[in-house]
Amino acid sequence: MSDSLLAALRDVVSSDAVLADAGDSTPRVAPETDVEWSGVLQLALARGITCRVEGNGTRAGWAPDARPAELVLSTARTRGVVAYEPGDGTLTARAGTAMAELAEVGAGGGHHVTPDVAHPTRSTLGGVLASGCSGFDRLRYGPARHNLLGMRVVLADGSVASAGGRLVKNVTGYDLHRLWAGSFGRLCVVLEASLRLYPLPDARACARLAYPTRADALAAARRVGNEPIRPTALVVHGGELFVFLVGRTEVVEWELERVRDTADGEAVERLDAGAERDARERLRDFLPSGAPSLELATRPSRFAAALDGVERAAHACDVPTETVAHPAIATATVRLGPATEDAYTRFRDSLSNFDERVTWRDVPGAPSASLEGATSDAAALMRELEAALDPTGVLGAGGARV
Amino acid sequence: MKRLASKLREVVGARGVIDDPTLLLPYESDGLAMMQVDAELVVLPRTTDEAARCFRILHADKVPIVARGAGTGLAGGATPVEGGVVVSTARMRDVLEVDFEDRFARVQAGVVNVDLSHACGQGGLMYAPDPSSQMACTIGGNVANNSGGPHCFKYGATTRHILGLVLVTHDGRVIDLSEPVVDPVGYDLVGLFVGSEGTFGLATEVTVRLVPTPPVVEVLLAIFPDLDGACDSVTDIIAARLEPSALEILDRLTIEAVEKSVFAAGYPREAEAVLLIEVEGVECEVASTTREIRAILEGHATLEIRTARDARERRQLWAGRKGAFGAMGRVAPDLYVADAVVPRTKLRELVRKTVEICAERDLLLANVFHAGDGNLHPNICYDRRDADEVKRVLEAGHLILETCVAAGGSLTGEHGVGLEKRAEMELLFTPSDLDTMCRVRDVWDPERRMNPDKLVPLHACGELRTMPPREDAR
Ligand SMILES: Cc1cc2nc3c(=O)[nH]c(=O)nc-3n(C[C@H](O)[C@H](O)[C@H](O)COP(=O)(O)OP(=O)(O)OC[C@H]3O[C@@H](n4cnc5c(N)ncnc54)[C@H](O)[C@@H]3O)c2cc1C
Repeated sequence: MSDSLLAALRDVVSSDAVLADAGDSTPRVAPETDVEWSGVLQLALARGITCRVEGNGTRAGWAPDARPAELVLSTARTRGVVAYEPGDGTLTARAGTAMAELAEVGAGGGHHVTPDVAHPTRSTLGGVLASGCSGFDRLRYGPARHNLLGMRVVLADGSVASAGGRLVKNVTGYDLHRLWAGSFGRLCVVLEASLRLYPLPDARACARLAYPTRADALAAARRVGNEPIRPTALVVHGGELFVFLVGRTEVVEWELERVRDTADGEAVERLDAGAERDARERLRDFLPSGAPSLELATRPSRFAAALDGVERAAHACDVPTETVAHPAIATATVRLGPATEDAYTRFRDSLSNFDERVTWRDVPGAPSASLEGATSDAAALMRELEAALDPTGVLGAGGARV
Repeated sequence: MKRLASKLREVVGARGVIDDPTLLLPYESDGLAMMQVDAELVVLPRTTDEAARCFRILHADKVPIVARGAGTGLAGGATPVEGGVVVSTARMRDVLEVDFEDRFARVQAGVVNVDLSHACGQGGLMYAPDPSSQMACTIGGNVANNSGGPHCFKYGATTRHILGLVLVTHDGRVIDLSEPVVDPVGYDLVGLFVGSEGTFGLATEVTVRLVPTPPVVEVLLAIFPDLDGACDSVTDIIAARLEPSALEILDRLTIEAVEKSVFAAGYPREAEAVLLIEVEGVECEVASTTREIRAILEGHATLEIRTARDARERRQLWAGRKGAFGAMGRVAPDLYVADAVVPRTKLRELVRKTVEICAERDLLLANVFHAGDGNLHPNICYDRRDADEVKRVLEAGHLILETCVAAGGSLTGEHGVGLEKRAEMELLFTPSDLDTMCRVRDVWDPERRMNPDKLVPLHACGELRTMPPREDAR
């Protein structure tokens, strides 16, 4: 990296925001204000530099660089809660703020902040939204993008643009924030986002049901899922089914009863407070950031068969697996254990014509966050969107989407 | 146009093209009747394939295209301001699939909202977004406008319920985004398309999420001696983080109109305002939520709190709310339904402001609105034949929007920008925001033939001016 770039960067951001390590690591810059962000991107544009956006890197391996990055743009100094409106149930924060901090601020005013993502102390709001990930609490509150009210971003040419707003209901203008969420830093850098909040529950509990096999646990999950209850998560791990319940105390008690009624004679263990929290965090955070994994997404009716298919294929290739499944939303995270490179390759190949959607994460050589499954016309449109928002590929390291 | 009509007939058959001037009359505007433009030609495809073939013909001749569902829009969205061809989904009315197990339905875009609810009702499921126009409006129109409705307070607007789409773009390409799994493949084109008001393409098929019908429903009617008390109650219910499924306010003028109409719901005529509250869930949840809501209402000097005794009474109370716009026809020949959003902490202050703005201009105002979402609908009664009154209505409408935006609100909560609010977009968005919207729009429709002149102010898209209502708009 040329010294002249570093000097030029120091002209647009304060000098301690430029981090240039010795050796061959990519220099990083952490702008703070909108003006600094604009300045850095304009500089990158003028010099034809390819950038990668980084929050805290917890999900960096979900979309490895499409092109080598010459400069890393970090949101580490773009931090803080901008507005928390308890009376309106909304929260606006800058992209580099940790999800745990948002949860704490919301809880202070009686609100639950969704998405409840893995590793919340290390995950930033911008990174979570840009990687399109949703929370452990998705079953009850929906995917993160549904609770995203608006966004402010900086585009590849340095212009700052907003879409949506801070209100719980609003249809003014295009929902560009829906495009930007899940774009893995390829279309813009997220600077700020507003979220819709939910009431912090009065009570929490978890029902744990143990079955001889996972198939039994999945069948039980289907029965529970048909009950008129609204869990935050229905999780199957091995032969265990966990039903996480939140809400008014009397409702949680009533829902626990209903879960017991469906248990088919199996013992239902009730986890309260500390134990519920431990189970939730253990299942939510079971995948260390950077560990190779596969995300399965299908429909509830096909879920059990799809999951079996994935695991059979893995075992046939000697790839060990550990799975946390969310059958009610038909998704599962399959952690892939240590295996030879050849085993990984065979496993990937064996799923190349799989009927269900699988997304490889942190798997060396796998096409991450790819468009497999998108029709060619849809993929073409996505490419055109990239070209429209970033004609020269300033943010071209990001995404690997198209 | 004659040549075009005969080419289109080859695709859609003789009954699929309208060019007779008398039959074209209904297409000259949507529900925003003060802005009308003669429609030149209407085509009614029956399938995605027919729509795509029509679009290719129109593409070859560079003809503007205006998508139209039922024409119940209230922002001039389906009004063919730039001429061209109106593509109506009125013959795309098939429910293609209802999957009770995986809880989704796939429908053609012209399916009427309420018909979808009927189609999934027996299976204990429902399609949650329920615009008050649901007896007429189409799912395609709901998608294009990201429509709301009373129950969107709990369930969220249309966008939260759309799993997939099949689209036809300006040049007749078919884009299939219909796989009903949880997350988008690549960029979220579906999320981007919803709310694009017909400017990105025609939705021909829609896959929607269905939700279970609630086991227990309770409807309360709180009666107030003033509008302030109703507004403050809503603000306090939100601040207390209670979760009813709907919170709707109707003011005195609306009550009077409803009670004189076929929608008469038994709202007390002496009330200055009523607050209609629905609470749903399991029994104990409904009971405790209702109890807490009642306590808040009682703290705001309600005259009375009624509870619907059975399903029939609940339906009746809702019929009054859903028929309110229609009932206003008794008060004046025309109704200008404004639509703005305000932070829910400021309901009283801003509702008062709308009353003042209209009173200063000697305009008759009826307020009936989705209070729980902060979504105001100041309905101004007028007569479109009175040019001066029309001018005052537009002035009031603009001022109301300015006031709401200045208070941290927004231009539209559900009706969209359409033709009506393009100029006001600049109150809310910077030139850079608008430029970004234009860049994205140009990807979908580089020639800007899809619903031209809507949503984004023209000069923001590199053209000349912010357009007031057209001179020739009658
Ligand atoms: C009495 C009354 C009550 C209402 N209540 C509500 C309410 O509670 N909540 C609410 O949100 N709205 C409400 N509305 C407004 C209106 O009903 C909604 O905006 C509705 O979604 C419009 O549907 P439509 O089929 O009539 O669409 P149209 O009015 O025909 O079209 C609306 C817009 O969508 C575009 N469009 C239509 N179909 C398609 C398609 N298939 N593909 C792409 N673009 C398309 C059109 O070009 C236009 O821009 C109300 C209207 C009335 C008259």
